[in-house]
Amino acid sequence: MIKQLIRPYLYCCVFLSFNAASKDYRIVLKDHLFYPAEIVVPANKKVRLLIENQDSTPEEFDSFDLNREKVLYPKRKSVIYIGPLIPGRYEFFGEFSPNTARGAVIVTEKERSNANN
Amino acid sequence: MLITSLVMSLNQLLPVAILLILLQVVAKQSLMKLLGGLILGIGLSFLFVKSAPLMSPLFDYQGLEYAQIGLCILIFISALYYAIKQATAAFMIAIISVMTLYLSHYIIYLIGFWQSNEAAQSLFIGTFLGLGICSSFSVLLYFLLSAIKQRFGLTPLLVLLALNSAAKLVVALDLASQIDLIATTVTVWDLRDILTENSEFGRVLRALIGYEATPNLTSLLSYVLSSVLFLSACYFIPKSITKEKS
Amino acid sequence: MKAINLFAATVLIGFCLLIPKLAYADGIVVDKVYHPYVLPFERELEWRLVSHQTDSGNILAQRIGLGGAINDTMALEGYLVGERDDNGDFGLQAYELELRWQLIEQGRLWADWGALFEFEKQHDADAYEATSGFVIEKEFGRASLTMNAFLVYEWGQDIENEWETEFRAQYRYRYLSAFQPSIELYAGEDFIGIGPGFIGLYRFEGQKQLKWEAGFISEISQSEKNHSFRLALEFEF
Repeated sequence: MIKQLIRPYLYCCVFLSFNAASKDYRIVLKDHLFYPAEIVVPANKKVRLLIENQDSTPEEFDSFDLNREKVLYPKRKSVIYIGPLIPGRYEFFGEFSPNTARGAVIVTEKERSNANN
Repeated sequence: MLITSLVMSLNQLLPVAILLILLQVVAKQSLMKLLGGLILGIGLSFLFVKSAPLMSPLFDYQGLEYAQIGLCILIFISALYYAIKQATAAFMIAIISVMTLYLSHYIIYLIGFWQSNEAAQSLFIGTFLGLGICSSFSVLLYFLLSAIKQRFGLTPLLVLLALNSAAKLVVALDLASQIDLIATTVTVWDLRDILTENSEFGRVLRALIGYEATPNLTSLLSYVLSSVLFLSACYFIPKSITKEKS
Repeated sequence: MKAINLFAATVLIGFCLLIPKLAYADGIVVDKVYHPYVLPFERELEWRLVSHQTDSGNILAQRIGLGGAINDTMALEGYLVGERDDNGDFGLQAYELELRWQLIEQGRLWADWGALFEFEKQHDADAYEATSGFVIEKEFGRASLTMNAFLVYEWGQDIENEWETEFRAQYRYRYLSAFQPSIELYAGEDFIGIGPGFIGLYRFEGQKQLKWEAGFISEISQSEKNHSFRLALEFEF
C-alpha cells in the first residue's frame, strides 16, 4: 500500500535519479565514538552505509546534511542508504552523545577503494 | 548528561509542541480532550518503543521505517482533515501520531541511559527543564499565533499548518530513501553557510516549516505540491459544502 | 493578551534592539536579567548556573551568593564564582560584590527604575571588573518587559584594560505565579542571543519564598551551534 502511494514520485525520480549499484561502507560505533570518523565515498552514486553499534547502549545516527536519522540498537548492525551526493562534506553525529560521537562523509569525484563488500 | 538530555528533550518536544499549538489555534479543543490526547500519545510512544524489537525485523529489517513513514502520512492526512472539518478525532490522531514519531526517540534515550543512579538524576532534571522551556516557548507561540489569527484571520495559520504538514511528508520521503525504497535526486542548493539546521534557529525553523539547508529535488517538489494540495483542499472543500447546502 | 500590548511590546523590543548594536563585552554574556525591586529586610541565598555550549566545547559557570537589604531601597550581595573550562577543571574563579538599588517606588512613574553596581575580582589573577547600570521594568497588562543596560570596565595586570557594554532584556507573560514564560535577549561583544525561558516563585509563610528561573539562549549572530543554558534558584527568608 505504501509503495502504491509513492508511485507518482517514482515517475519523477526515474528521469532524474542515478540508479547505480551500491557498495557497502562500514562504520563502527564503539565507546560513543565513530570509527572511522571520516569516510570517503564516491560522488553521484547511491551508497550503502553499514553501521555497527558495538556499545551496550543505543545511539541515534543523525545527519542534517544527509537528511538521515536512525536509531542504532546495541550490538546490532543497521543499514542506511545515502546518495547520490555532489562532492562536499556531510557531517553526522550521535544524538545521544553529541559531544563525542561525530563524523563526516566526504564525497569526492575520484573512485576510492574504501568499499567493504 | 544534563545538558544533553535537556537539548535532546527540547529537540524532540519542539515538533510536537508546534503542531499542537498550530492545531489549537486553528480550532480550539477543550483542555480535557487536549490532556487525553497527550496521555494517549505518551502511552502509544512507550508502546512503540517496546514493540520496536518486534517491528524492526519485519520487511527485511525495514519494519520501523515503514511504521514511521505511515505515521508521517497519517499526520498529514489528519492535519488536513482537521483544517477542513475541525473534527476532534482528527486532532487526536494527529497529536498521538506526532508524539509517537518524535517522543519514541527520546524514550529510547531515557531507557538506554537510565542504568546508573547518577545518570538517572541528570536525566530527570534535564527532561524536566526541557519540558519547562518547551512549555514556555509553546505558551508564547500560542499567544503570538492567536494574535495573528485575531488580526489577519485564519489564512496565515493554514499556510503554516500546510507547510508543517508538507514537511512531515518530506520526512517520510527521507525515510523511504534511507531504506532504498525510492531513489533520491541530487541536492538542489546548499544553504549551510547562511543557516545550518544544527543551530537553534535552524532547528526551530525545521520544526515549524521543515526548513532544509540541503534539500534534494524530490523533497522540494513534494513539499511544494503537498502544501499547494493542502491549501487548495482547505479552500475549495468548505466552499463546495456551503454551495451544496445553499 | 491584547493585540495592542503585544504590538507595543514588539515596538519597544525592536527599538531596544538598536542599543545592542553598541553592546561590547567578552566572556559569557548570558546571566540573569535583574529586576528593580528591593524588599526591606529581605535576605536571600542564591545559586546560579550557566552552561555555554559551542562546537569546540562546554564552559560551565556556577555562582553562589548570600545577601540582604541594607536599608529600604538597597540590597548588597556577595558571590563566589566557580568555573569549569574546556579542560574539565572546576575551580574557584572569582569573588563578586553586588549592590542593587531601587530608585523609584513601584508604579509611581510610567516604568520602575533601579540601578546596579558590581565589583568582581578574579581569584588567581590580577584582574578586576566594575559594572554599573540601569534596570527598568514596565508592565503591559499581564506582560512585563524588563531591560538592563550596563557599562563595564575591566582592568588589571593580567587582563586588557577596556570598556564594555552589555544589554539584557526579558519579556515575560505572568501566566501563573509559578510559571511565567519569557523571552530573553542578551547582547555583548560579538554576541547577540535570544531564547525562551521561564521564571516562577512559590511563597511560603511570611517573607519566605523560593524563586526559580531557567532560560535557553541561542546565539543569532553566528550560523553555527552556540547555545547557553541558564538556571537560577533563589531562596528569600
